Amino acid sequence: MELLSDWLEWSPRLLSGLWVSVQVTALSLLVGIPLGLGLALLSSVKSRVVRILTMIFIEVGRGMPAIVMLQMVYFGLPEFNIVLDSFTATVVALSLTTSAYTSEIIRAGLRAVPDGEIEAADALGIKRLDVMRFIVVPQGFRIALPTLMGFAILILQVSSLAFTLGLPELLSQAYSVGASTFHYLEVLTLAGLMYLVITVPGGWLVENFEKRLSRHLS
Amino acid sequence: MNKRSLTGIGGVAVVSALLLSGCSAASESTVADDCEPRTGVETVKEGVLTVALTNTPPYSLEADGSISGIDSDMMTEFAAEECLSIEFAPYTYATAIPATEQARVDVALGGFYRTEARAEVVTLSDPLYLDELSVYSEEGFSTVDELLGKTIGTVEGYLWVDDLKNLPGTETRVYPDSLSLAQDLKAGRLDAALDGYGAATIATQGEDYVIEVLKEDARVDSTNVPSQTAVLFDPANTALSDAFNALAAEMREDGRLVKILAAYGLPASAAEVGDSRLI
Repeated sequence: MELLSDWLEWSPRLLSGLWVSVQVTALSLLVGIPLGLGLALLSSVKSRVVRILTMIFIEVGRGMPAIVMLQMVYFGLPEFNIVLDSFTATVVALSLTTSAYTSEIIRAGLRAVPDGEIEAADALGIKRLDVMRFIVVPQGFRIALPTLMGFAILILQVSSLAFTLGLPELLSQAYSVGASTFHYLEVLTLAGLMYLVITVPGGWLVENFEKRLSRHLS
Repeated sequence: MNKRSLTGIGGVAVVSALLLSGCSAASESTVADDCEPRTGVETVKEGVLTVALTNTPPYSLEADGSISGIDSDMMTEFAAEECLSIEFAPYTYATAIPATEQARVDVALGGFYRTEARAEVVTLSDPLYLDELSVYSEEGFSTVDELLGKTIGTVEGYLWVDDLKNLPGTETRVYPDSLSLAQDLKAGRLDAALDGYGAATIATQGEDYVIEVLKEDARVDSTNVPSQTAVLFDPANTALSDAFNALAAEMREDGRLVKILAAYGLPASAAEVGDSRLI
């Protein structure tokens, strides 16, 4: 009973943190996924230089742990007189990570579009840009969507690393309560449950979505 | 199971063993064979004092493979008196508490402040020294009034966090550690940083900041009563905490504590803790 009353007392603070986590996640995805699409397209252009530069960006973004990216954006940019607050810095860092990862997911989706459809469009004299706009990108995105949704869940969890920048997101609020009460395990359990409230239904959603997309295969 | 998977498992085992061995460190045993323990306390591991070391200079830190800092130096003397060698591993505050509570370690170090809520979870040692709320800034702020309307920062876990957050018109940012706080002041995101005196001394080394003890003010409780620090023990091992408290009292009496404090930039007055209290 004592645990429940503690959880009740801590909930408002943790919920305000959860709201920050959700905002950071949503903005990072909103910025990062279109960037990822751009990178996916750039990685298959004719120009070798552009392709190589794009691949370097993607590999650095994928290879660098998100926490290092966060620290570099937050503490590194002031060296170049660019001072971002913790919220903006988190969104920028996670958007960069998102773009690098999702570019590969989207690229795989675009490649999965049957060649026959592109050849048919070419035969009909449809312009290359229109082939991309109306055939390849929409279909490739649809193929990539379940994986992207799974990645979105991952980014919500990764957003917890922003506690290192002093951003008052969910984990930061949990640590804050833990620091004053020393009931770290109890408060971290509650924070974990709050993450689950979003990630578990999110997981179900992805699963259902995948089933719907593959209905025609059964 | 084929040869390749066996090789793979072997490789993983070797790597895991190497990683695990890197997770803890034992300072070379200086315990003489004929060492007579002062009280003969029991510890988690026989003959060894297992320490959860939070990296919070100047209270506790790792230096050259050994524990260092004010709390660490006191603990090193204690281990020597009890004929114990020291094994330590780096912990965060959030992991050091359960580790102590669950008797995975004998003691946790890191300039912990003594509060009632904390005393319910672990055994706090008797007060060791005072750590006054200090503010460091380019301007040399020293009063709460001077901080009003400014953007200020402090570190999570201090007793004054909520009071600072309640200051009208003042934005208080809270950081997970002193280093992040100091970095943000340097980056220009903050007007002033508030930390314990010892941590402020470390953070301002080689920098052009002025450290001031924040003047007494009713709006920030900690300015009225300086925080007493403690190290944390497993609540089930009262013999261990009692033995340490006895030695700490002796060190205060004979001046050894003042010498340790001075070595880390704290004034002799920090050893005058007054009556034991929980806030």
